[in-house]
Amino acid sequence: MRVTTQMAVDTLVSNLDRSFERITRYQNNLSSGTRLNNLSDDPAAAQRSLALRTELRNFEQFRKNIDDGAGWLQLSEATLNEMESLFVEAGGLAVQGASDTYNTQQRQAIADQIDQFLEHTLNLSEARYRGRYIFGGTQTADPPYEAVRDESGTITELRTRADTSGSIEREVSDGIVLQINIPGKELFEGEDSAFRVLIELREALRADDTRQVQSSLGALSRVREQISASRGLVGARVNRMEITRNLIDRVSAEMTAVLSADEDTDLADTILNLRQEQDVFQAALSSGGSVVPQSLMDFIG
Amino acid sequence: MAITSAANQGLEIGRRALQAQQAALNLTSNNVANANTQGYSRRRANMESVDGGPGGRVGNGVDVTLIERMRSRFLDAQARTENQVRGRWEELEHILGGLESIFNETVGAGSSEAGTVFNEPSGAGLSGSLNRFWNAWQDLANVPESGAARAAVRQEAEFMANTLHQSHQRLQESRVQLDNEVVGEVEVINGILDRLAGINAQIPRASFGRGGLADLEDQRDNLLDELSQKVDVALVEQDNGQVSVLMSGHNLVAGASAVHLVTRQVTSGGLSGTQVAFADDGSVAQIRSGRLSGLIEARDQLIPDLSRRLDEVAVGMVEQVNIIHRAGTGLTGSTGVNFFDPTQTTAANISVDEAIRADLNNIAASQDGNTGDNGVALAISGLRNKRFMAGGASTVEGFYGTLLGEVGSRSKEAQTMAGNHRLFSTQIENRRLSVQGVSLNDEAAQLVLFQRAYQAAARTVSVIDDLMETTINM
Repeated sequence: MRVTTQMAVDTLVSNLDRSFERITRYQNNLSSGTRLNNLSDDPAAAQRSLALRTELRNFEQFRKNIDDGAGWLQLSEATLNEMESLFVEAGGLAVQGASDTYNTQQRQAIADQIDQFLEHTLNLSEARYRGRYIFGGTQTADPPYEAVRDESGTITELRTRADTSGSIEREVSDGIVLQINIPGKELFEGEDSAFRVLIELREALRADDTRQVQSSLGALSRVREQISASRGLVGARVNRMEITRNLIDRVSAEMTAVLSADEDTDLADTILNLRQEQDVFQAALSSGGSVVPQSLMDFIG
Repeated sequence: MAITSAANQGLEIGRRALQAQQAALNLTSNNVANANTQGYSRRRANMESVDGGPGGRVGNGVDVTLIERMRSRFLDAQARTENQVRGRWEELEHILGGLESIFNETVGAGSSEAGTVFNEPSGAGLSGSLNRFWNAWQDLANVPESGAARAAVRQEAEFMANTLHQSHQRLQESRVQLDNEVVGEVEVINGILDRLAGINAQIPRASFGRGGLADLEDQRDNLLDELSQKVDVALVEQDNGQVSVLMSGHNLVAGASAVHLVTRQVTSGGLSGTQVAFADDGSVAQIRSGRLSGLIEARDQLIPDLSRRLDEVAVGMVEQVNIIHRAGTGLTGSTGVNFFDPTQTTAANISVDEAIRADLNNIAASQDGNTGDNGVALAISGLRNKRFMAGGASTVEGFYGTLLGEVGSRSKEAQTMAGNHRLFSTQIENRRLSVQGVSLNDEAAQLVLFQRAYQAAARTVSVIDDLMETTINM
């Protein structure tokens, strides 16, 4: 093929352009640290990276949800612990009160102690996590129970302010929700509720009715079992949250690695390519510089 | 008598030789002068020996009979076909590159930056803001009684709406820009058509004289090259040397007259745009290739399609969030409140409902009416996993991800195609230059050749002069 001056120059220029474009791209990848500077750089990887990023952000949110839920559960656990030991103690006192070896005065003293337990149980029922009443079901703004007191200030009855059966949930991973609250209804309301059993025991002691005291022992242990069951439930949920959290941590570490493989510049590879391309560019420049200006014109006089 | 006549003939031959070599030297000089002129076709002097007349054994010297313009019609046609395809892809490459930047977001933020991206919830794009919108609802679900969490939900909702507005806005701006470019291109095309008609008008006259034609033809070929990048045209060369230009069978240039393209504003399907039509009969010009077709394709298909899909995102979000939100209860007992304004369902105008803007307490998190319940907040945040887009085929983030993937791969396709066609174009251009381009080596050799011939011819003249002098002094 006949090669003209302009062809030689055009070819040189377009080769230099292409080579320089590649150099710029490598440089860009190196300086930005990523090989995905535009969607079109690798559409499939960009799409994948976007989905992974979303997933990772969700994980971050789940961690927050778990932390918050675990805090709530831990407070429930502590409260239930205290209630349990309180009822163990109340059981001991009831055994004493049912015994014939105790006199009326002593029973009154035990009754006073039980009254203190009742007050304390009321306090425990008003446990709050970050300002929210944890036993009020979804009614978290107000104390769930209202004490009715006689003239002397003794609690005669506890009334529910609202429905305390609502369940509160946290999303701990995609689509998986865990209930984090023990509804007050299960512990504080009904036949064998903590309040009622304590009030009955107190009244039996006050009335010096040992038979009645005796019969309340059964109710006391049923309450204790109920508390213990709730505590077990809370413990299981805390466990589940921890397992989920560990899983999330592990998966997000893996995802970050995948993301890095998709997005990050392979330094060794890119630097090597850049070096090669620079050599090509240099060679093109120097050969172009020495060949293009020459023609027959230089040799005829 | 015979001697002087022979001498005169010799002088005449010498004169013609000098003239011819001079002409060839001028041509060489012209070639060298235009070595770098774009679209210049190198010229060569065709010399023929002049017939010696009846009985004349000796010839009558030389004459430049034709100045040949080195050009390959075949390669020209190939180059122009390639130009049309390349023009379209280059235009699309350019436009898609711009569109891509609208959608570029956290993609490629580099996982090294991931920590900052996740902790301080940046992620300026739509995908990031959708994600943060859902997560704001989760935060509210953690503290459904909170005013601060409600403020965050509203803020993220407004941010997401704004992101949609901006994407929409930038798409519309690009569309208007493209429309203006269509008008601009048509003006340039009309200018080229006029000049082609003007050249046609000169061609029959110019062909009587020599030399001028080559320049006109070069000009015309340049114009046709330029035109072929913009629209798909067919060329017909007439017997008298004029060239007719046709577009989808419609005459654009016939003889010395040009039919202009006109632009007119039309609105179809809610989209206004400039339509290109023929000036003579007003019929719509179908542009299938070239830069102009790329512009029109992007304006009428690409951008409206992207816009429509952003609108779908807006509609989906407004409807789905509202359905759940209406069933919930706000902090102060409000029910049946829309979260997004149900009358504003496009990417251009999606906005948080007036009631929510007026009072954060109207944001409903509760299902059962109690302030501690987070049922609605969880349900709304759960929408991120619900396939309510594309006829129930994908989640909203999936839908948007697909859209981004498509923008990316179309842009990549355009880049690859434009790159390929640039390469083809360069190859064809090289072959054209191989025929028509000026080679300084060639010209240098020619220069020596004609210079020597000129010197020799001059020498013959002086020898004949000597001869005549000798004869006269006999």
